[in-house]
Amino acid sequence: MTLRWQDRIRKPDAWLLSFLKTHKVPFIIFGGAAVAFHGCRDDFYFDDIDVLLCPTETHSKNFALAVNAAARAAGKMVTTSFPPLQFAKLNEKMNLDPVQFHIDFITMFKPSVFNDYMRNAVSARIELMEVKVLALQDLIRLKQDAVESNYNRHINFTGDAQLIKQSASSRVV
Amino acid sequence: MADSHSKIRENFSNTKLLEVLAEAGVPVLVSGRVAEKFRGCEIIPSSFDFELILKPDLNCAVGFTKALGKLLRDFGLQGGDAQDAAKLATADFRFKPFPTSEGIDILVAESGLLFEEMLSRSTAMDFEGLSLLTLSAEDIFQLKQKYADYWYKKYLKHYADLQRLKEKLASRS
Repeated sequence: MTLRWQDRIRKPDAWLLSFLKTHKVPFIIFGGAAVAFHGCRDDFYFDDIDVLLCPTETHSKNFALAVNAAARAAGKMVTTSFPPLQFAKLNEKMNLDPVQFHIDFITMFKPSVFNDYMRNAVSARIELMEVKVLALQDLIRLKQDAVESNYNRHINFTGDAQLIKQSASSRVV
Repeated sequence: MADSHSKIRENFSNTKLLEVLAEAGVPVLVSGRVAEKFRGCEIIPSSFDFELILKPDLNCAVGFTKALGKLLRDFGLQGGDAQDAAKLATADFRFKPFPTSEGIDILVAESGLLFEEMLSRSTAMDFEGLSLLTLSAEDIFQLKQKYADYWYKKYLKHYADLQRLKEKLASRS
C-alpha cells in the first residue's frame, strides 16, 4: 500500500485535533507536517505537528474547552486546568503532553494575518476529518523567515562565543 | 484566575526563585550575563540575566518542582490556581532546552556527568546575598558554542525544506 501523508499522523494527535474541530477552534497545520504534506519530505516524514491558532478570546476559550473535553474523554488530566485566555495572546506555545501528543500549539500572527493564511490554506484529510494546511506560498514565506532568524541566531551565538573566548584569554594573559 | 496570574507576573522575581532553590538544596549552576560579568567576559552589560543549569536527575527535578510549588504557595495560590500559575511561571522562565530571549532561562544539563564536571570547575559568586555557583569562562564559552551549533543545525534543516518547497512551486508553474 502506498504511504500517504495522513498515515504519518499519530492516532492520539488526530484524536486531539478532532476535539478542536468539535469545539470550532480554527487551526492551520504548518511547519514540517505542512512541508511533508506538500510532498517536500521523503516518505512524508515529520517529527511533530505545528498547529497555528488564531489569538482571539473566543477561540482561546474554545481551545481551553476542547483541551479539557479531551482530558475528560481520556479519563485523565491531559494538562492541568488550562489558563482560559492564554492563547488570546501572540507568541504563545504549548505542548500539552510531550509523551502522549506530538503537537505544538502556537499563536504567531494577529487574527487578520491568521485569517489571510486560512483563506489561502489547502484542505487535507485525516481519516474522515478535514483539516487545513498552510498554502505552499505562505509556507515558503514562513520558511524564509525561519532560515534568516536561525542563521542570525547562529551568527550571534558564534560571535558571543568568540568574544567570551578572547575576553577570557586576555584576562589570563 | 487572571488576578492570580497578574500577581505572579508582578511579584515572581528571579531572586525569590534563587532563594527557594538554595533553601531546598537544589544544586544549580549559573551562566548567562550575570556569570559573564562575574568572569570578566561580559559582552552586553546586563546585571540580571540568568541561565540556571539543573542536574538531570530525579532528586533535582523533585526538589525544583517542590521549590517552585513552595514559592507559589507563598503567594497564596492553591490547587488549580497554583498549577496554572506553575505552568505560567515555567513558561515565563522559559523552561526549555535553549533560551531565546533575556530574563531567566532554566536549562537541564545534557548529562549528570557533564553537570558534575561543570560543578567541579565552578566558583561561588555573591549575588544579592546569595552564594551562587558560577560556570567557568571555558564552560560559558562551550555553552555559547553549543547554542551556535544548535541554531546552525536548525538553519540547515529549514534551508533544505525551503529549497524543496521552492522547487515544488517552480514545478507547478
